[in-house]
Amino acid sequence: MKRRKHKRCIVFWGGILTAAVLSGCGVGEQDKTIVLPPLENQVMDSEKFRFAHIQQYIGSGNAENVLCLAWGGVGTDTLCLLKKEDGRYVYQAIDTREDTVLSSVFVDDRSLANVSIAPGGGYLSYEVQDGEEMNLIVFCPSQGIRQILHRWQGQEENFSYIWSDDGAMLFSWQNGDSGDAYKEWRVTRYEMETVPEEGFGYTVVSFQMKGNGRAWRSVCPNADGSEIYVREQLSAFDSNMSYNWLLLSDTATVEALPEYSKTPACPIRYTQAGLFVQEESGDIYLIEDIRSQPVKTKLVSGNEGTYAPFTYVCANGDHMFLMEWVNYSMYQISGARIVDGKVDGQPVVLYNDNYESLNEIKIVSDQAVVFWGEELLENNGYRYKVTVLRY
Amino acid sequence: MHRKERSFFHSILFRSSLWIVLPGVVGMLLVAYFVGIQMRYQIEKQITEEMQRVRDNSLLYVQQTLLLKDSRVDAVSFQLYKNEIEEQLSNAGYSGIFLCNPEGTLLAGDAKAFELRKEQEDFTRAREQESVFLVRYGNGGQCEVYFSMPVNLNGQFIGIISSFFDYGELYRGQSDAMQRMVWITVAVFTLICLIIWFTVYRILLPIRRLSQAASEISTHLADGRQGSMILNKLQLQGRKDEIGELCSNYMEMLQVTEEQFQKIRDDKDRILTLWSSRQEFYNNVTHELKTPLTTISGYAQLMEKNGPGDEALFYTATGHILKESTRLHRMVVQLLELQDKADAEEARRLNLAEIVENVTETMKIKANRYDNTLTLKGTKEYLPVTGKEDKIRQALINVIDNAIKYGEPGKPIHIRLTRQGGQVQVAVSNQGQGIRKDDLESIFEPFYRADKGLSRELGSSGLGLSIAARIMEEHQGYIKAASIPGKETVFTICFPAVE
Repeated sequence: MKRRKHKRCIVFWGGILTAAVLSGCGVGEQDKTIVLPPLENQVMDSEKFRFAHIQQYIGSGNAENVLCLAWGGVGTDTLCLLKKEDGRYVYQAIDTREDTVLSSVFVDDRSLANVSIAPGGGYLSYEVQDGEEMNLIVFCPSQGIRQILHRWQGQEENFSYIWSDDGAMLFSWQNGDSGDAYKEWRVTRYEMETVPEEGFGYTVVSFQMKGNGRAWRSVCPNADGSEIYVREQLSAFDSNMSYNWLLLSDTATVEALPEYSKTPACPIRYTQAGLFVQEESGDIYLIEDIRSQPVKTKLVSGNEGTYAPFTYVCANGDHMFLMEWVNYSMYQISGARIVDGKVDGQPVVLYNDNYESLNEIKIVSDQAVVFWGEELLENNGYRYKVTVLRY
Repeated sequence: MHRKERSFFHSILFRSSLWIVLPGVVGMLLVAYFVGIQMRYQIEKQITEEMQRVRDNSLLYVQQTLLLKDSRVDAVSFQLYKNEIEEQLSNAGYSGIFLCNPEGTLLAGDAKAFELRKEQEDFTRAREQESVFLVRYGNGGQCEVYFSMPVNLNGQFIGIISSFFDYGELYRGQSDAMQRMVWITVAVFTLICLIIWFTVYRILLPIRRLSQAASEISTHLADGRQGSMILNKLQLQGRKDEIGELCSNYMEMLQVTEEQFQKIRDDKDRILTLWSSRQEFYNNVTHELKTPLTTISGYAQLMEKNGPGDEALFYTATGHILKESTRLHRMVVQLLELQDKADAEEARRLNLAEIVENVTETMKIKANRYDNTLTLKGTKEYLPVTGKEDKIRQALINVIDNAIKYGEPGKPIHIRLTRQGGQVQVAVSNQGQGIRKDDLESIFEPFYRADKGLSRELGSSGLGLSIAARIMEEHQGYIKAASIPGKETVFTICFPAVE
């Protein structure tokens, strides 16, 4: 009996040991075939919303000389840019299909800053030093005329300048008359009026704002420029104080708005659908009815621990595009439709390219996304590259 | 005694080591196996996610390329712009690219390499519109991924893309990490094994010593050697743990054993002595009985021979026969008393002083006959003892009778009654030739006589003192004798006093 038990014990342990040795040595050469799940859902999503046409234009000359780009208008193939040639700043309109320069206009020979070309290329704005003062100038390439919109004492400052989608209004926020932006600041709408044969004029609607200290300030005009959403986010690290206003251009009145976010929020665009904001977590929200009772709807969840995507929304507020890193060398553009204040399905990857080619999205219109980037040359220089994704 | 040799393979140390090492080794091998499986599973999971991205990106690249060429998204355009698509994929980091039409005909890529590739399962299944990748693990840490996918755009199957990805670096990195982990586990396990082995060895060491000591003790105990001495050599008693407790208990057990052994040895000696005494007793009884019978028989034969006419012989013979028969009778009576253990008399509380006084008065007549005097001295107070009066009287009579017989005529015999501590003593002293020191130890044995001729001459049976000693033993007392030959002999009877 004892011997049998002993024998069984040896057989058991021998078996276990042999199995263990064999299995321990068994992870060696192997071929394994794995089938990926089918793409049905993604195909359906991408068929819902995808780019219909892609157009690329690679300009001549080094990209370093190009200060600013704009698309000549939706449905056109015209590229507008301000470039530096022989120490002079020249505005050019280029036919990207034919790769020909349609027009080339001298702008200025002084050092320009904060250059911004209006969509369609009808105007460009810039800051320039003139003696002891700084000038905000708007230049009309078609007429070759420049107008000084604003003068102030001091150096150039990184004020915010935004052109309306139709390229006729320039919105800015600048220091107030006292020069202390912490205490007072000013939001101004300049509306250009072109008078054939007589040049162009402009009307100004200005809002004097009381400053609440060191703060991030965002200015988001709506599509027609009648309403300007303004947010002042105090930058104290332990404070989430913020102020929201709606500036009504037609009546030149300021309307205080209720707060909608418990965390610091960055406004993306004020559209017909509502206000698009991105919070610190990367979450993107649509705030509807901001004037009375804000309704906050999450559109996209941000990924914790990763960079929040750059978010762009068209003026109608029905298309949203996210530009984000895929890996160390790739960018991708995802897009989603906004229907009834919600994302239709999930954002779909629409385009990807290397990071040199996808530098910055310049225009998101109701029909196309225009971005520009660079293409590396053999002599380590860059050429600018503009891509138009039509949808 | 033969010491049984223990095999190392049957030792607790070996068995415990085996039970730790064997499951440990098996466990580690199994852990290594399952960690390997898990590692590959994780890598495959990661590759699967990346291949899904590769598939999505590939479709996007194809679509982007065709849209950039202002072309329709279909099989013809795919074939037409194969080089641009290949370049786009190559720029995106793909390698080993093969572009094929839906029938599996190569459009772009190395034709020679494609001959091998087209037989692979990933490619054959891609023709069936499945996105498949083949992971090939090599012994040198290779991990090659061959990915084939159908290009389905706008609901059309327009081509097949195959490409190759090398995940060797990732695999080797994880494999190295796993190997490091396994080796660390082995090192830790080995260390734990050594610690456990050392601990078990330390625990078992005193037990082994104890076993050796027990073996030595069992070998030498019969010789009468002290086992505790051997145990003391182990120096285990200082320990306060279970081993120390075991040793302490073992020592205690050994002491009890030794005491028992000693008792057995003493009993054995006593039995041998008793056996010897018994033999001597029977020899003496035989001898003592035979002597008077011989006298009686001799005189009877002489009377028969000489006939009734020899009047002188008749009176001499009848005198001797009467004397010897009387002595024989007395001897038998005393023998019966000696053996009488079932005496019906109950022990009771007695006044020893009264008994001693009474016996002294009685024995004075006999003392006068031997020209001696009896004097009673000492306390006359009430001296209570517990016992049987007849027996006590018998013991006193025997001792006083002995003192009268062996006392020198004309010399006084003193009887002294004292109380000392918890004892009541009756000392009977006489003066005479006394008893030699060698004989003092044996005088309480039956039929023992220091001077056999003198004893018989005095009509002694040799049983008086032994009867007295037995009676005192029954009364939890004792009798002892001290003598200075030629001067004085003192017999002391001691009773336990009763309050």
